[in-house]
Amino acid sequence: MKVKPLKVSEVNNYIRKIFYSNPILNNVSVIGEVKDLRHSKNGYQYFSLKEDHSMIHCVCFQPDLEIPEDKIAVIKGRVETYDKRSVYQLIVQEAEIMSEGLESQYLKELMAKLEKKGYFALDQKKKLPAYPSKIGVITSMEGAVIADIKRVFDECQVGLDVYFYNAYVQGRSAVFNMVAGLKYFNEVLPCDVIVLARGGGSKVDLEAFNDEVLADTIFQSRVPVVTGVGHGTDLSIADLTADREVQTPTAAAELLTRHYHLAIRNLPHIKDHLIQKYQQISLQKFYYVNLLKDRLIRWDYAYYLSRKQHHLSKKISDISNESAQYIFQRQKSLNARKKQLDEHDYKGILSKGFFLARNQLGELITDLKSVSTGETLSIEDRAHFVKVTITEKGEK
Amino acid sequence: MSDLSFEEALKQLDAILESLNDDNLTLEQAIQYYEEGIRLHQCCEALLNEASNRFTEINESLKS
Repeated sequence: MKVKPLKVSEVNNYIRKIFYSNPILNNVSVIGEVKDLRHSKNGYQYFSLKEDHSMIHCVCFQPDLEIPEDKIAVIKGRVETYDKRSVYQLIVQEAEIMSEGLESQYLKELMAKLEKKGYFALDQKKKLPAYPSKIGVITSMEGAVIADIKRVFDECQVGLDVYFYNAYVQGRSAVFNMVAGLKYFNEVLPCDVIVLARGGGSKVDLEAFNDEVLADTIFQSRVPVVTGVGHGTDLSIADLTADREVQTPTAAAELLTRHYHLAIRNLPHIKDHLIQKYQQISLQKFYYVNLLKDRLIRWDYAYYLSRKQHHLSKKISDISNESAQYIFQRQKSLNARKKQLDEHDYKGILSKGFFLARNQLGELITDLKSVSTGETLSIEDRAHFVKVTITEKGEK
Repeated sequence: MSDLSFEEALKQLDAILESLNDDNLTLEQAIQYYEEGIRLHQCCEALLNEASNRFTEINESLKS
């Protein structure tokens, strides 16, 4: 059977009618988490209703109806498509909050846990090098980000080594890719600093940046990590864990080249300052040397020598005195003994009419009983002696 | 005897003096001790004179 081909508008219109006539789609209540709420100029509210990996686009034409962002909500309305673009969406009539969004709850708990582990603590942040020469950039090779970053680094003409690691930055592989990139720039090709970059995206798209494993890897990285993830107002866990976060990839590149630009701008000034400093220091040194020279010339060496001479003379005189004192002391103690010795001088007795008698052997006679007649004795006074022979012996 | 140092001679002289003060000393011993004392005294004096002369000599050489 041959079917006549339909026009696109006919198909779209047909689908619209089926949606419209379906009682369920026409009056439906859907539960899910409200994400990516956006307001258009004419007051329409657009958002996604999410459940795990399923999502439905929603639009609310009532500007006053409060749509609870990031909350689990029950949305009442009808599912429609329209002719121009056959895309279905939920036209919101009522929105009722159910509970705080499951994902938000999980995120809150994770944040609390990581904060407790010190991941966000300022004193844990590594200092970024002022003049990095090797920079590792983890980002998607698709999209405008890479060109923006390259442009900023190229503008800084100091020959930076910028390496790119191609990583999905959204979707299921994103965490795995980014973790691998961080490890690559730590271990395989160690860099001075790592940039984790991604262009702007909706909240749902940035989910990978709230991952615990990614946070662990950033925290453990030896190389400082800068995040440049285009986002709205809320910081992701990756941003909070990183050593520095900026709003965009371009800003990250500008941050890392800032000091170079400043230095290049200041070079002439630095040169002038150096020359000035050198002149100042050399002048000071010359002045000091001259001062020393003057002092040297004025130094009175004769006075110095005379003082030394005087000192030496005093020493000699001291030595002389000491030796005289030494002899004097000994003479004194010797004299004291001589005086004592004199007290025992037997010769004093001899001047009083006593004489010493010795036998022929020279022995002192102390008892006349021991001498015999005929024996010759020597009689002595202080200065003389006589020899006598015993002629008689008797008792008194 | 001439090998004796001043200090040794002085020590021996002290011993002689102590012996001379002994009341039980015989006259013969006293004379012997006395003579020995005189000899030691002369020895000390000689050593002292020699030392004094050496000092003077050295001091003179320092001054010149």
